[in-house]
This record gives sequence, C-alpha cells and structure tokens, in this order.
Amino acid sequence: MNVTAFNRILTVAFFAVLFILPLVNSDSYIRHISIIAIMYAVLVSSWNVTLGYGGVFNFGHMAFFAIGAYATGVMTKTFDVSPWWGMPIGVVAAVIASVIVCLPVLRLKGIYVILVTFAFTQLCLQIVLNQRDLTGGNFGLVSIPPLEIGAFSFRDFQNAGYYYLALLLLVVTLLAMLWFRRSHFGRSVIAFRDNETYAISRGLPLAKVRLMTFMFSAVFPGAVGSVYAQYVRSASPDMFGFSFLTLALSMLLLGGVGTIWGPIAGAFVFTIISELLTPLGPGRYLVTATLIVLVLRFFPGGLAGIPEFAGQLLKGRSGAAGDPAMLKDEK
Amino acid sequence: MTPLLDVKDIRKSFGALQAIGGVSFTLNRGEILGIAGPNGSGKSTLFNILTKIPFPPDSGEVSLDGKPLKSLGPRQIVDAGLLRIFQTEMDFESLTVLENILVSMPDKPGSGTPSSKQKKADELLELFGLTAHSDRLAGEINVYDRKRLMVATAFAHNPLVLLLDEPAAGLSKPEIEEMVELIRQLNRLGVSIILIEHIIPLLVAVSDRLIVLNFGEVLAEGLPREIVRNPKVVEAYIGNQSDG
Repeated sequence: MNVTAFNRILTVAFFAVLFILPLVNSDSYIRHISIIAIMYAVLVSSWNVTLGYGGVFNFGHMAFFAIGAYATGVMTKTFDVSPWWGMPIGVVAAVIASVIVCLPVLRLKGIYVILVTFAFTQLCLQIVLNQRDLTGGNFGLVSIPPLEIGAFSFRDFQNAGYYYLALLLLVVTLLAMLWFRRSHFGRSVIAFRDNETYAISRGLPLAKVRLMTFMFSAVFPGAVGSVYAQYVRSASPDMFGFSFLTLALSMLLLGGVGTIWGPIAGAFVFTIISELLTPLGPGRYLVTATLIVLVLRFFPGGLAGIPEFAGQLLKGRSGAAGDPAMLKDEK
Repeated sequence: MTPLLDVKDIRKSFGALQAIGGVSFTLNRGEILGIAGPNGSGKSTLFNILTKIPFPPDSGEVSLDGKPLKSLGPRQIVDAGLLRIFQTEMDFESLTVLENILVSMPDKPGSGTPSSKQKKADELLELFGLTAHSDRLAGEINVYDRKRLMVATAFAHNPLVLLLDEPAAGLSKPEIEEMVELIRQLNRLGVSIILIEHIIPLLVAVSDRLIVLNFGEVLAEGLPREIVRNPKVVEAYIGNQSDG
C-alpha cells in the first residue's frame, strides 16, 4: 500500500469515527469537548495558512474568530437578522478585518508583523469594551439566538446539530487546505516563505499574495467564530485575550506548522490532554507545557513529524533518527 | 536594428562608493553577451540594478524591446521578459522540483490551463535534465541540479533576456561542459543571454561579444578572442590577482 492510499484510509477512518461518535455516545461533557476540539482544529488549521505556510507572524488570527463571533451576535441579537445569516456575516466581517490588518503589514517582516497584528487585536478589544451598548462590554454579549430548523434546535440531542455543523466546517477546512497546498496560490505563499527575493525574481506578486493569504485564512475563523457564538450563545472579550492566542499557538506548534494534519492533531491532542489533566488544577499547565517542550525537543516538526519518524524506524534507518532533515514538512 | 536590451549610462553608488559608474551597452536579439571583470568590478550589481532586485539604479535608462523599464517595478520587469539567475543557488526549498517550475510560470488570464502548464513543466524538466528529480524537494537536490533548476524556473517565465550570474561556479569540469551546452541550447531556442562568468574559457566559448568591467566602468568591449588579449584587460586581471 502506498503512502497516498494509506493517508486516504486514515482520513476516511478519522472522519468516520467523528461522524459515528454522537451516535454511540450521548454524554454531554464528551460532546462539548468534541465540539470544542473540532472548532479548535478549524481555527488552528486556518492559522497555519499565514503562520505555517506563509511564515507570516500573524497574531491577529484569534481576533478574526472573535470578530466573527461578535458580528454574528450583534447582527442576530440586536438587529434581529436570521441566525442563518450568522455564518456569512461572521465570514464577511472576519475577511474585512483581515484586509484592514493586512494592509499595514503587506511588506513588513518578522517582529513588526507581530507588533501590528497584536496591536490590531488589542484595538478590537478596546472597541468591544467601549461599545458597551452594542457588545455588552466587559460582560460580553449574551443570549445570542441559536440555530433552529422549524421545531428542531441545534442544541437538541446534546447539541448534535452544532457537533455536525462543526464537523462539516472541519471537512470543508481540510478540503480547502488540500486545495490550497496544491494550488498556484498555495505554492506562491510557500515560495515567499522560502525565499522572498527569489519569489519576486520569478514574477510573484508579494502584496497580492500576502493580502490573499490573510483573506483566505480569515474565512475559517470567521465561520467557526460565528458557530461558536451560536453554540455557547455568547461572545466574550476573552476571545481577544493573550491566553486564548497562546493556547491556539501551542496547538499549532505541537501539531506541526506547514503541514495539513499537524494543526488538526495538535488541536485534538491538546484539548483532550488539557481535559484529562483537569484534576491537577493549575498544575496541568505545567504538565502541558512540559509535554510540548518534550515533543518539540524530539520531534521538531511537531506531532506531524512522528509518523515519518516511525516509518523511518520501521525501515531500519535508526541512524537517521537524530537528523532533523527527516522530520521536514509533509507535502 | 533596434537592440533588444539598451542600457544607457546607468549609475549606482552606495554612499561614497561608486559601484556602477555610467555603464552603457546593448544586447541584440539572439545574442550572448559575456561580462567579465575582477572581483568587486560591479558585475552582479549590474544585474541587481537592471532587474531592480533588490535595488534600482540611481540614474540612467534601460529599455527592453523598445519599452523603457524606468517606471516598472521588479515584478513588472520580470513580466516584461528580463529574468535573472543568482550567483548563489536559490530555490523554493520546501516545494518539489516540479512545483518550483510550476510556481515560476506566469499566472495571468490566458497564460494557460493547469494541464497545459503541467505539460510545459514536464517538457522543461526534460529539457533541463531534471525529470528524475521531479518529485524531490528542491532543498534536497545537489548543487548542479539546483543551478539547472534556477535556470529552468527563469526559462519557465518566457524570458526575452536571461541574465546568468556565474552559472558554472562550483561545478566540476563535466558539469561545466554540460552547462555550456545548456546555455547554447537556450540561446538556440530564441533567448538572448547576458552571462557573467569568472571562468574565461567558458565566456570565450559561448559569447558573441564580451564586455569587461573594472571599478564599475566598462574597461573594454568587443569580440571575445580580441578582448582576452587586450593589454588593459590583462593588466586589470593580473593586477587584481597580485593584489589578492
């Protein structure tokens, strides 16, 4: 069996398990953790477009999620727009925000991109806190209308509707990432990460590619932010916070940047481990941090590097185990 | 006949240091123009300012196929048909060899369907002897293949003029001979070439004309076999070697 066939089987098995899970387990706690893990997978996978494939330190990605949530909440609660418009509203709002934050960083690099994008996040937070009548200020926006089809609410059957909606978003995200990685656009994004001068010398447009990268990556946090707001029926200023940002960043680094499956694996593993360690209280942060350091110490490519490492071991090339080159990104 | 590339009195200084001081030359359609000169004579800087990657000239006029390049940015110059390869090997290391070529092709409306681009990329892989490495990451192939890939990616963008900056540097003798043949082949395919090279026999072998730069100025210009016997050129080289 070749690698492609194996990957396809693994992908189908992964989604089959996720599809069947609510049918065989109706525990509300497990349902909630599953929904959150799936949403994180969407969020982190899309962040991987700018941070992983693009090598652009876009620290505004979580703001796109929060903007999607707030835009949906404000429009559907305050202005009585149908909750079904929530996702399109969230996506449009996040994409507009991505254009606003991208314009100043079109030709910036490294630390300056972090500075501008993080400042943008803080600016959004201040706006949310100041526009109390619209956003609820410090208390957040609550009682956001849920999704319903006739008499069926997405919250029925332990939030089964939200579970499958989140799962559908993950499938769409994965397909979009697979398209991205094989497209001229995706290759251009990677080309600029690898060698900006050389990319320009081959006629690739830096500003256009970067703007498109931001807009493309913002679609998914906008969508998932909207669904999240309708699921928990609230949007809170914490969504703009640094702790939320570092949590998602940890998932991305743990899973492996610049890979298709790394961010998804990182989101699921991190969410599950965090929950398993809950009895440790604040001590769980220490354990989680140690685990991340250990994984990245031995697998610089993150969790995505482990299958390749295992494959090499099985082939008896144990001599190459310490060679970081073998842990390079999957295509 | 209007030259394909017309360079008039271009200059570039870095503070008090004059890197290029009033260089003028022309390149005719179908010609291979060699550029020689001691280290630090301004050869690579000349390519930098012609392509504006990474900086433009301070003054002077450059036109390609009758079209002035002054108002164009680096990318527009590439689209106009002036492409370069760099002295040190460059590639998109985490893309495969095939993807390096595909991403370097023009991506404008009417520039071809994905299948026609794939077909053209396969032909280029064949032309440049890279078919066997098609699916390997560019960062994993050897120096000679990386140099060929760099030329192939430039060729993939349909150049009128190729600027080759020391394509034979670091290659073995058989590889240099293959590179010479490749340059001639590209020229036969209709691409005009400006070639910077330290290996003088290579320059003499492939160039129709030769320019020698020294201290950012044209020291001599003419037929290769005459130029290498020019006393001023010999003195510039020997003087440079004894200095070093």
